Amino acid sequence: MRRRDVITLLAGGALAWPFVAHTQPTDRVRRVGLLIGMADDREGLLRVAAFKHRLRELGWIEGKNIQFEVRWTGGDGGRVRALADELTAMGPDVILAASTPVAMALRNTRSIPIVFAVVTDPINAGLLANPNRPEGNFTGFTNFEPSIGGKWLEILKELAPSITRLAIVFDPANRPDLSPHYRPSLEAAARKFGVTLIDAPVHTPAEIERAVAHLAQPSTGVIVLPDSTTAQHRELLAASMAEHHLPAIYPYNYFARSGGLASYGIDTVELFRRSAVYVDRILNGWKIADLPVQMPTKFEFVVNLKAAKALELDIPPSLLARADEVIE
Amino acid sequence: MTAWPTMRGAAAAWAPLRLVRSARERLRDFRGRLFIKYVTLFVAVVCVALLANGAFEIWFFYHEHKASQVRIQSEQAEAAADKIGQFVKEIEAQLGWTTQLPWSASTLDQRRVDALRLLRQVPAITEFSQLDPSGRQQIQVSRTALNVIGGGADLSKEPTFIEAKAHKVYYGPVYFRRNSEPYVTIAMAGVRRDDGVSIAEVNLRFIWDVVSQIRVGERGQAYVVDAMGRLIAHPDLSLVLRNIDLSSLAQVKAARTAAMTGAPPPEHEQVAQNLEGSRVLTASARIPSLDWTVFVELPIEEAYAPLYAELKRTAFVLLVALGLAALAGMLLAHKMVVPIQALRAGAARIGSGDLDQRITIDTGDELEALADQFNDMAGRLRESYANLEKKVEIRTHELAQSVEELQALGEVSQAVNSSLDIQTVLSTIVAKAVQISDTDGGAIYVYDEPTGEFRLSATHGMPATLIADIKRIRLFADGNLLGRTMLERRPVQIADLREVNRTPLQEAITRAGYRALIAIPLLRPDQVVGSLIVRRKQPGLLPQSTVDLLQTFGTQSVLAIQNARLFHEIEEKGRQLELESRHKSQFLANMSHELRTPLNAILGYTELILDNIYGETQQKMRSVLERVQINGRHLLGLINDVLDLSKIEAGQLKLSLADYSLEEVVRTVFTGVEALAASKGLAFKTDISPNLPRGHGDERRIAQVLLNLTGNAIKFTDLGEVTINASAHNGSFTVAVSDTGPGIEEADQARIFGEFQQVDASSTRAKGGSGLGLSIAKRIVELHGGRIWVESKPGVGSTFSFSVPVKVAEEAGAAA
Repeated sequence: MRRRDVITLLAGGALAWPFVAHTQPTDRVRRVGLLIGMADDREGLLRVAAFKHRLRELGWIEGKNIQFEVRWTGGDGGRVRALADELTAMGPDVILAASTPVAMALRNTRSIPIVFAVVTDPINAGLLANPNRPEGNFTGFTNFEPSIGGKWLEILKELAPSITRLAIVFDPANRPDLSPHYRPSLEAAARKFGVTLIDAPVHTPAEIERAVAHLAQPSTGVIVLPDSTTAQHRELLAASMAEHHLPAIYPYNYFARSGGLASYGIDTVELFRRSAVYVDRILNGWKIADLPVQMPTKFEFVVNLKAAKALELDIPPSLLARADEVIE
Repeated sequence: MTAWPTMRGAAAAWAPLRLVRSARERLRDFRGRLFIKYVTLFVAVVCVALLANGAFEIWFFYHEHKASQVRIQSEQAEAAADKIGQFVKEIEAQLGWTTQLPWSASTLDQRRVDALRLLRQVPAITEFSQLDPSGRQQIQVSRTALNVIGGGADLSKEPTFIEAKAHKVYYGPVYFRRNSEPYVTIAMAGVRRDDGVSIAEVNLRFIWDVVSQIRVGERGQAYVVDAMGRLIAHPDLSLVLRNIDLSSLAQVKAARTAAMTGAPPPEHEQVAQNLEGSRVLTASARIPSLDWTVFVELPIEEAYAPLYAELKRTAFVLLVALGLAALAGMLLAHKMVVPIQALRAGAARIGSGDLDQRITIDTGDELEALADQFNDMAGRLRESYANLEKKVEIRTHELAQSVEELQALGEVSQAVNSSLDIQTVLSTIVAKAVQISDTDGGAIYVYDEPTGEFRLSATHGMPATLIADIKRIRLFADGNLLGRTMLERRPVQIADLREVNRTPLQEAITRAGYRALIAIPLLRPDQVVGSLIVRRKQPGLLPQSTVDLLQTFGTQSVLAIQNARLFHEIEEKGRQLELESRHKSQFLANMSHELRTPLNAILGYTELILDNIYGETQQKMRSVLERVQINGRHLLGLINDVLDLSKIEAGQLKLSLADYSLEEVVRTVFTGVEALAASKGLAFKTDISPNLPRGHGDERRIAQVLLNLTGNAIKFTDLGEVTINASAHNGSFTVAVSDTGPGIEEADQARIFGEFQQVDASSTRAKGGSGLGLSIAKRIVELHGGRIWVESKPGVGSTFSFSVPVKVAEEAGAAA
């Protein structure tokens, strides 16, 4: 009987060995809240898809170990607060906040880590003080440095050398302190190029039309600042610009794609991808303090030749040669 | 069957008790040990072999694996360094384009376009500027800042310009823009003096791409560290942006020292702790132009994962093999042990006496042979057992017979000893002889020496007619069987009377129906006493054992006859002696009386004369008369003694028992001889114990004894003292007379109690005394039931002591 027991034990052990695998701890399903300060249109969906895809690459399979709660503000500043509260009330593990007003609306939340993307000035927005070691629960990816303002003017001047007036189109309601972000460089550049700066605040499509119509004067150029309103109504803007023969430079490539003359800026899809990496890190236990705020590195210059033709602008080949994308 | 265990028991009894444990007990200790031994040995052998092999393999595997890992990592580091170097070279190449044209050969605007195109071409360059041959900045284009064309800022003193001009290419230190973006300045100058210097600010974020794409195992990574030890590229960009200083890490330090000394990076700094503190296997390669170092690291666990896997595999194999070995071992051991156990059990059975069991083993090897041997042994044991039993039976039977015979002999001896009547004895002997020899009749003839005839003394089992017949026949020493035995001095048998020529005696016997007989001579060494005959109605010779037995009977008979005769003689003699003694005593008594009477007269008249009854006695006559008196008294004493002694000898001395006080006796004696002691100048004292009990004995005789002893003491002691001790102890009086006389030699001590003995005959004459005193004293004391003895040391003195019971019993007083 003793011998039999020993044999059984040995056999059992031998058989069980392979099954003594290193079992992974079953993760509970994580919840990521996404508050997107855009409409769920093509561009918006593209960005969210890119975010999810990058997370998938990092091992987060939707439905298996991660769940997403997406809220679109549609560029509507009024809804941001309500959606922000709704999202925080769900108690997600991380929140992705796309664009400044969204991030600012989430400022009350101290407990949930928040990764922001496409925020211009997090310090000024009150999200954090030290971009290298964020002390709060905010970190993320910024979109533009202040100096870009001057760059925009420079490029526009190259595209349309004749302009003497520069209108700045933005929605003051969205980010009241935004235009000051770019204003210094814009002013410096304006001085350099001998251009006058004009503010053109817009909020509704009606206002856009009106403002653009108002600006329709020769030798006038337009800089469209990056904000949700302008992004939301990009087609309208582009159309209006074209209608009133106004050369305009935009911050994002989708403006150019929507009919705008040119854009010089970053590809925010990339920002969403990079945010995914940060979200992955946070879900794996990284602390916010170890995730510094990242500045943009890759700038792209997109030119819409069709729009240029419509504006009767003769774009020198050397300039075209510098374009990263040419829309024809 | 019963012999077996007793033998064992006997053996056990011989061995020391504590060492003896039963075989059963020892079995308990040993049971299963062989099995375990085999299995253990087997498993151990396999285990050792496997372990040795495993350890050996793993050892080598570990080293090889580690070496190969490090090699791979080194290669990867080299590749990474290459790639990064390549990246930088690319930038340089691009920069080189811009320096090709001499400064004067192109316009500023051309340069601007070239610069902008460069920006487009090389995304890594965030800012590009060109200095003219004199060091003034003429072009500055930026991705984020405004372009500056012309300007003329004087940077001729900057190391960028100077170094670039000197060495054609300059790499600036890694600096951080906005404290978190790593940048490096690369400046290139054209080959000619007339060429300007192109300066590019390169965002090292792009190196991150290179580094993050380097695949090092699964969780390994590569990173780049600048000359100062700062992290400038890492797959985790955020670490770079934190501007971490890694110069504290051991491997970084080692690489730095290696770089400085020019030696290759050390091999032994392979396992170290990385930035996060976990242990990694690390290798490095240097990018010489930039003085950056690429580190490639792999977590130790991953590096050693194959090793651990190997270990686990080996362990698993070992376990399985152990299991199998144990199994095999058990099987083998089982095969071996079962037959051995069968043998053991069989042996135990045989040992316990069960000799019918057979051990069956069919292993077909030596064990089977052994089992057969065991069975053989058991069989033979059984045979010898059976033999033994038979022999025992026979012996027992013989013993029983012997016992019977001895019993008979004993009975005979008893009979012989219990009766001195010769007739009874002889009858018993012949009866027993017939009984023990299992015959039908017997007789004893006693030889009468004077007449030379054999007389029939005792018979047994013989018909009266035969006895009468025999008595009528005169049996002489010759002419018959009896005589023959006497002559030959050994038993003679006749197997069948009908076969021989019969003597008249034999005729008579035959007529009585007896056919076989045996005659045993009864012999003394010097004479023939007689003959013992036993007869049988059946013909045939008696067995030798019976003959021997009968001979013994014969000897006994001789003894018996002898004893009886002697007894008679003694009786006669005794009677005669008694008679003589009586005559003697009578004679003595008469004589003493006759002797005493005249002596008393002599003494009486002498006394009277001395008392001056017959007138005044003159001095001369007085002294003579006194001498006469002394001698007379002496003679009287002698006569008394002789009378006493004869009485004692005749057994006529009787004690008259009465109560007495020993103390009084002592004092009386003391008083009696005090003067004598004083006249010799001796100290004389008594030592009487207080509270002496009253005695019961013959006071006069005891006084006589004491007087004798004391008298002797004083007589023989010339110097010193004499002491009388009297005490009572355990129901006896002990009286001792000690003196400081010449003492008595040990050899003489026994003699003096004999009659007419004094130690020295010469001194007797000097001292006087008949020599009878002590012997009389001895008799008296012994009559009382006591004893007398002497302790003496020549030259020191003597102590004569006697003890008598306090209360003398009446019988002791009777005739001795």
